[in-house]
Amino acid sequence: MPASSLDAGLAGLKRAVIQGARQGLDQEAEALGSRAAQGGGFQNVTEAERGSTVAYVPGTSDDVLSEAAALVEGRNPGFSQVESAGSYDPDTEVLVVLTAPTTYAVDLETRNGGADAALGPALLAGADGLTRAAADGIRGALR
Amino acid sequence: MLNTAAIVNAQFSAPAASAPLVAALGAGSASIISAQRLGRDPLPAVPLIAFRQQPTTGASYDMRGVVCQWWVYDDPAHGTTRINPILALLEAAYPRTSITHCHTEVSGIGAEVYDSALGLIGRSCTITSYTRG
Repeated sequence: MPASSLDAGLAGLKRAVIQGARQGLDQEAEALGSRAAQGGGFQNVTEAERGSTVAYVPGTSDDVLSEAAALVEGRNPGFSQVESAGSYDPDTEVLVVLTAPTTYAVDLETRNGGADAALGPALLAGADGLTRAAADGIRGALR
Repeated sequence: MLNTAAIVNAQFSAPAASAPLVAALGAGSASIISAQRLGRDPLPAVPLIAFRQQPTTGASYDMRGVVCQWWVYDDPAHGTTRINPILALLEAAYPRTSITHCHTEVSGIGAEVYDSALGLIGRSCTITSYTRG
């Protein structure tokens, strides 16, 4: 086998792994977002915060974030906030973002030692499920 | 069956057994509290540390992580100059084999935050004790 064919095959394998992980995580992200939206201090969390709590895979389901930000603007005008938290290489990395695009999400996550936190505990509880979903997606892509 | 309560109790008790850590707190061991008291009761002298139990990860047949968080708080006037050494002492209070049948490690240190409810500067320290249920 020529080296060029081997290189092309390995590159294709890498693409399949990344794509499979992305698909698997995209399926799990919705469940993760739903669980997070059910957490937090009930009395201290706005409907905008709860309704806009979402998880998505950048590059696959970005519309989820824009819809969440629009929901916040509809409920609490002026309190939506979307910030980039850094960069990643879409050819070699797959991300899941769990967030609520409000100006006060960080405050809710941290005040009183995280008493009203929803994102952090949901991510802790869902980490194994995300790993499993990525592995299942990769397995499906390689069949 | 996984004895979560015993592991959580051990996680909570570890800092009080560390003399350097207790000495670094505002009111000694009285400055070690449950996070449930934050925002409800008068707080002991700062720096203080507050314990919060987090979700236990993993299905029952997997390696599971029993997770807790310590929130280290201090007066904003001190910034993190006293908080950061306490974080190091917290980490030292949890040798990997310190909790029976678990592999324990510091799995995260949070960024500095201003707690708007308490008026204090804080950072979190996440401890995970891995074990098989």
